[in-house]
Amino acid sequence: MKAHYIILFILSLSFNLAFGQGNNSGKAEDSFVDAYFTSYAKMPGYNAQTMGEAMIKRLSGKGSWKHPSIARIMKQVKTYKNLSLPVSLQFTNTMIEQLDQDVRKDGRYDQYYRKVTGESIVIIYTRGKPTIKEIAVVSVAWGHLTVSSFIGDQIDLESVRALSENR
Amino acid sequence: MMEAAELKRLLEKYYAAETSLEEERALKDYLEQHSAGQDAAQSFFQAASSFKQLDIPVQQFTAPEARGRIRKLPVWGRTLRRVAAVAILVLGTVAIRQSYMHYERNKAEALLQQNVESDLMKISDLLNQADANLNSSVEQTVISGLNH
Amino acid sequence: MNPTLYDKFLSSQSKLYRFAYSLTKNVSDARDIHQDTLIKIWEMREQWGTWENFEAYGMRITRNTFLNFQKARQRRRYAELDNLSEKPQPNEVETHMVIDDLRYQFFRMIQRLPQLQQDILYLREVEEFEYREIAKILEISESQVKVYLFRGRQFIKTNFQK
Repeated sequence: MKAHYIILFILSLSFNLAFGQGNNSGKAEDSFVDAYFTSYAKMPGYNAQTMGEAMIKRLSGKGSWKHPSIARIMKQVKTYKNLSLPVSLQFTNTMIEQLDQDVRKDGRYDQYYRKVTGESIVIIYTRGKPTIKEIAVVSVAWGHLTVSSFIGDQIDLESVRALSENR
Repeated sequence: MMEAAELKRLLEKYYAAETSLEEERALKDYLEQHSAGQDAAQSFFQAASSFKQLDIPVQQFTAPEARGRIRKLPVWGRTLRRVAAVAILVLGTVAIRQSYMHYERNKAEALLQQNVESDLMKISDLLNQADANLNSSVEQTVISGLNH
Repeated sequence: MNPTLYDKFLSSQSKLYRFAYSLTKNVSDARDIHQDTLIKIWEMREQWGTWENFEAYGMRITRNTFLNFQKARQRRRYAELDNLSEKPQPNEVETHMVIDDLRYQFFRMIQRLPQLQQDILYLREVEEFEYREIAKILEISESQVKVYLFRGRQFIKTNFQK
């Protein structure tokens, strides 16, 4: 099992370096998930989901969001992407270092906040200045990597921040 | 409205495992509505309450029908019953398939919606933590500046 | 069959599933344990009338099913270790793990506690059982429940107070 992971991980890293993020090939419409994590699709247990504009509109139309503040924020969002995959702990640091390098090279994303504890790493990235077009969160915890990204024309960070106060 | 002293007394009683279920419910209700408490119990209660939304991901187990007394029917009766059984089976399969597909689609959508909501909450918590850390570092700088 | 008991059987299913999930911490194992439990309970339907507390009894069966399942898995692992020519199978539990932030947070908060204390905290905080019901489910005394609950809550207070 471990050998399996190692081989796949090395394969995906070399793929990244050869064809992917090193060349800053991400398109402006790409989400954070597409720009940095597409090549991980070969990893066992990889799972990615997308909520497109139509589904977001339909859910908003039905009044499905569990909180009015969420509904307001989702009006600013056009696409939501989410991926998760299991990662073995020993590769977490390598993975994050690789991500840091690639984000620096790419230059489209700004690291907004990073929290590192003994058990987990969480990083928030934003794209766009002064108008924020995307907000993405990467977290590694409990043997899993999860990445989520919200894309829109103008995402108001302050209303996202105020969300946990209003719940 | 619970007073601060009463809240403190209940929390102490809770941690000492001396509260009744009613008192625990009152405590949970209060902490759920008042986010300023910042007590460990608050996040613990919130995490515990998430289990209530956990759905069974498979069709629920229903008991097989109790066997009634078997009565011998005439031949035409048995044939009619067989035809009816086949018809019910076919119609039932179609209906079940339709409702299963509908159920699966709704479930996938609901799960995705749940991810969106929980991710937004996570980002919101993190943004608040970022603010709090920034404020505390500014305070520290100001205080250390005052000392010089 | 007594319709009230049958209703109880149906209405207790979500609770039993949640408990199975809290024990296994993943959906696929929880589903297996839940199904086994329901079949066992159904096979015991003649005795339902004698059960003082249907839900508590169901919870006890869930826990015993889980313990047997764990033992079986342990035995299978030993057998794999004995047979060195066979490669160990990937751990499906990990790959199928479903992370929900709050439930993960609950597990994370209690994960360093012994299993019995974790179970007591779950049964009290999530399912709101009385001490005597918890004692019946876990087959321990009521005073042990109180002592372990005290230790569990002190652990939460010490380790997670902001």
